[in-house]
Amino acid sequence: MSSPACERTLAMLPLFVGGDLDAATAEPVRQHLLACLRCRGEASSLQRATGSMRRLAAEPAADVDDGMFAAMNRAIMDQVLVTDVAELTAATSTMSGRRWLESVAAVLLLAFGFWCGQASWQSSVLQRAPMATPANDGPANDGPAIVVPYAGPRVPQRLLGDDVQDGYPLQPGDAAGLMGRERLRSLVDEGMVLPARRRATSQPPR
Amino acid sequence: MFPQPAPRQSPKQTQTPGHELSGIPAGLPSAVAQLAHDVTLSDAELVRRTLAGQHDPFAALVARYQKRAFWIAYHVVGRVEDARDVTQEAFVRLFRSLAKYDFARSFYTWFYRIVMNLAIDSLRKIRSARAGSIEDILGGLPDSRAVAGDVPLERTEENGQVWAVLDKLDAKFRAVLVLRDIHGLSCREIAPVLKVTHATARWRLHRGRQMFKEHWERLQGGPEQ
Ligand SMILES: [Zn+2]
Repeated sequence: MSSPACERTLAMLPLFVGGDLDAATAEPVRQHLLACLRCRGEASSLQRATGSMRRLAAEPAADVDDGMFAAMNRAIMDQVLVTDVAELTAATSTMSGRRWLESVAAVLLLAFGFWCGQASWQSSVLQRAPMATPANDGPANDGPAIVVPYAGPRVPQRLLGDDVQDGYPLQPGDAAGLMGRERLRSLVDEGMVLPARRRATSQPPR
Repeated sequence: MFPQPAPRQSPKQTQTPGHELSGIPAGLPSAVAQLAHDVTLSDAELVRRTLAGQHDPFAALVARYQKRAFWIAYHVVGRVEDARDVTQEAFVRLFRSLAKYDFARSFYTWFYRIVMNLAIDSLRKIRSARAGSIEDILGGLPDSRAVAGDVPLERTEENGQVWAVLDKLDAKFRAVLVLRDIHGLSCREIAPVLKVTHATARWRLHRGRQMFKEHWERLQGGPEQ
């Protein structure tokens, strides 16, 4: 069972045992530890673990002594002496020169990318290459091609074998599903449809 | 009594009698030793003199930092040979990038970052090479960590357990524990070395200590009471 005070204390313990809390934050932790046996147990096991790690600092390693360090100093200087100090600053200026060239190249590339994007975006549909190509042996598509998307059938589809549409028997040769010129004329003759010329002057039948 | 928080250590105070994590080694050429010991000469001044074309000031910089660099690398990678390679490579890289040194910033933070990056890379390579090997299956037996001299047997066993636990931790947690708990850097000093925020350094320290304790107790057969 742990109280909110225990929870708060346990959350602070890893930093508390290492002395990594400021005085104001550490004080309530210290007060709680005085009163709570369970949290105190947790604190001391954390402190034992951390303490064992700290003791590693005192552990010597085989063959590591001043002789090794002096030899290491010489080995480093041998490696370093092959580089003339003047080369250091030269290397830095060459580097900055190369970086400058890289930046210019990047800017040019970006500008080219933008130009390409702008060019294709600004050209109108009419200026672009035709999207529809002529059928085999058909006339060359010289003029501008305007592509109108197909929006699906605008009249009801007729089932195969169905020879009646809108209550009228279909004649052989009638465009199946589409309003043929003859059928439109017959509708005009029956007064079902007014021609555009007459529609302006006469009333449609009710 | 309840545990008292450990006193804060500064990186320059971390010394154990007979075994120093820092300090200038003996046996150097006298001109180099003189420059290295001269407290009126700052690290930045040694860098300036190196850039002006002198070599001894750089040898003096190496002398000032080689022990610290070696021991940090050693506690991260866990093997003398690898730690020595990391240290040498770090100084060579330092020399080659010396012209880029920002004199407004602290030298050791910059240098420790080079050391730490190389050490973490080395640790990751060692771990990926060891994955699935017999050494890994046996739980990382101490190799060149064989300790010399009159160290008590129980201490050696305890250190073996500490190494075993450190080997289980992710490199980023191990790095922060090594810098804080073994080398005594503060979280404010650790953050720029690891190139993280102060809050991240503290969180890694918090989490790292927690994980260290859990693995350590498991290794000792459950939590102690
Ligand atoms: Zn409690």
